[in-house]
Amino acid sequence: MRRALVILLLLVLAATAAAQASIHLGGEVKATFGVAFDGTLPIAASCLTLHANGNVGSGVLPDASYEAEFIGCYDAATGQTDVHLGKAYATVYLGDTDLIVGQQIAFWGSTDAVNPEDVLNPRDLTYPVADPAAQRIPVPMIRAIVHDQPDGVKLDLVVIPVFRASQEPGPAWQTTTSTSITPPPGVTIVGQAATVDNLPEAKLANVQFGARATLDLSVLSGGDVSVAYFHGIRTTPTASANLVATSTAGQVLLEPVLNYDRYDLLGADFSLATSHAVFRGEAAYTFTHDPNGTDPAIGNPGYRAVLEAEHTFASGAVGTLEGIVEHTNADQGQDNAITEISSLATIQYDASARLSAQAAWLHDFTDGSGMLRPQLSYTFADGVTGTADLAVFYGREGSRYGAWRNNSQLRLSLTYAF
Amino acid sequence: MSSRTFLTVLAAISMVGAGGLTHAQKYTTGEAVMNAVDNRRSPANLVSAMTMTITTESGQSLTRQMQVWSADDGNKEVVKFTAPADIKGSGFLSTTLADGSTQSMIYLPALDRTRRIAGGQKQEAFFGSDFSYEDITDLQSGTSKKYESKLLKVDPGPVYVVESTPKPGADTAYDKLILQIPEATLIPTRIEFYRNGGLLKVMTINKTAEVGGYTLPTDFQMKTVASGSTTTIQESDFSVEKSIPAEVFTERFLRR
Repeated sequence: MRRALVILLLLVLAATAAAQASIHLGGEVKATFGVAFDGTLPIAASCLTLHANGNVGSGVLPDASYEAEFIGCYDAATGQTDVHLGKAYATVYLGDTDLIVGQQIAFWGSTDAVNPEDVLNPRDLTYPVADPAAQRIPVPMIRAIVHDQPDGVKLDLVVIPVFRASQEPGPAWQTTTSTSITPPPGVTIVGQAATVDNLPEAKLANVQFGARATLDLSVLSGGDVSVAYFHGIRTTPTASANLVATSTAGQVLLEPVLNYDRYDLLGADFSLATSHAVFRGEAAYTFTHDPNGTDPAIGNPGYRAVLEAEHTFASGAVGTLEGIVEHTNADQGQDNAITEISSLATIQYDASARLSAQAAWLHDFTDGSGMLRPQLSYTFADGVTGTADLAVFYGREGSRYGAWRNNSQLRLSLTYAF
Repeated sequence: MSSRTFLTVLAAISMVGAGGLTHAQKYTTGEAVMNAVDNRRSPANLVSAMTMTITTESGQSLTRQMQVWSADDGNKEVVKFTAPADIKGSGFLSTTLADGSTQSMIYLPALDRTRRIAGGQKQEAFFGSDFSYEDITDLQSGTSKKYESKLLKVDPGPVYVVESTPKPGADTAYDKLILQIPEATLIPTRIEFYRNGGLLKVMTINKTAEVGGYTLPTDFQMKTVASGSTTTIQESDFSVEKSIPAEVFTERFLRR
């Protein structure tokens, strides 16, 4: 094994030298320890990330670049070990086009934290309220970004050949999903069969693709507006259920079924900077293949919209306020459309070059639940940062965030980047 | 901050009035001083490496290293951080338009996105340093439309002492600047930044170097009076007057 690694390293070095390529090696060690209010220890993990990146070609504008990372984690609280390839992609600069191929993360959208258009990557929802940027899972992708220089239209084309589902929330975070079904008269449900997970296969019909066009606006202190289209598959499943006959007449098993909805997304977003504030907005409508809400195995169409204002106060603190609307259409003939209105307020203050304080308050006006999220980070030395992150959930039992009341927790982490 | 930024700070400030002229000097009016500063030879394009050291009052320090590209007399500027590892790849792009307004954005690789900065955000600390985004950008050539200046006095040397105040409606976080400009170099050695009537920060330029026929400041220090923290910038590896591709001053390059 060691010999193979040495040979591989020599090959990489030889190749980079032959191709006028640079190579930068680095990484990150991160240890996280969490304590929940109910006395459990949700996490006691150590992670090591090693990455390599560099450019091919000389001069300030290289011909190509690459990035690759390996991630290994061990969580003593759950006993789980995870070693996997993170981002691994190459970028070729072809005139006005950046061609990016490989396992990568691509972000669409303008607003912070809540992004209706940010659908390209599945999520690691093990800790559902983690930083959304950290939740994105790299997936194989072919991406072409066409720049109409210097400040014209930017076209972002994406093809995702193989579907990958999001990692489901940890046991403590899973909320009850409606998979109940009323049996016909004379039939009794006597148990539950194994869950059927209809994970989309790797085939041409399941290839996802999309495009986003962005126009820069030379107004005020700068702005841009974008429109996006994506033909994809939801990375979190829609749960339904079947009744499966048993060998005993009149007795059936409940068989949960997980389907991943095909959908088409139409979105738009903007950002506009003025002398005293930045305004951002983002909205997307999702058309599923059940427009009338007749098929319980397919999620209904709906939309999400976010409007955000950001302001820097005289003290240097930066505050944002977001209004969020999420709507899911009703099933046919029923009046059960779901509309949720919530707000997200954040404030960040850098007390010094070392100490930074942040706080976020997410509140769902529909059911009165929400989350408070104060966070402190301190830079002990170059590349060494400690963070204390408190998440407190409130609301009645069964509400959106109240369901997680017992999961309120404090997480402490120490990160060394090298 | 690029050396040209500081030079254009001076070039931008028009002076009205003069007083307290107690020493022999080449320039007898503020306007003459500023014209001389304005006409002083400085490179239109500049590439350099910077090391920024942020030191607390207790003596603890953090270091950032960055590469800077500047063109069009400072109206276009890109800063990309090269160290330490946790902020490597972060960048800042600023473009001053013909009407004097500035468009700025930062790139944060951890989020894989660029963010536009409002004018008001320019008073925010530049990546945790004692310099603000405004110090990095707004005090460029466009500030000539923002400040009125007068010559306060002339110290031995001679060294011209200039007071600059924003014009009504000017988009700046400062109430007043006071600059000391030696006649011999026409490069400021000290700039005091005032806000809400009080002294907020003091910047000193401690060293210059001859590069390609230009005299360029190389060592800067900014001290925040209230906290006692200081940020020093040492600029090196200059490349002057070489053509910089227009693509450098784009969001695309910021992410590259």
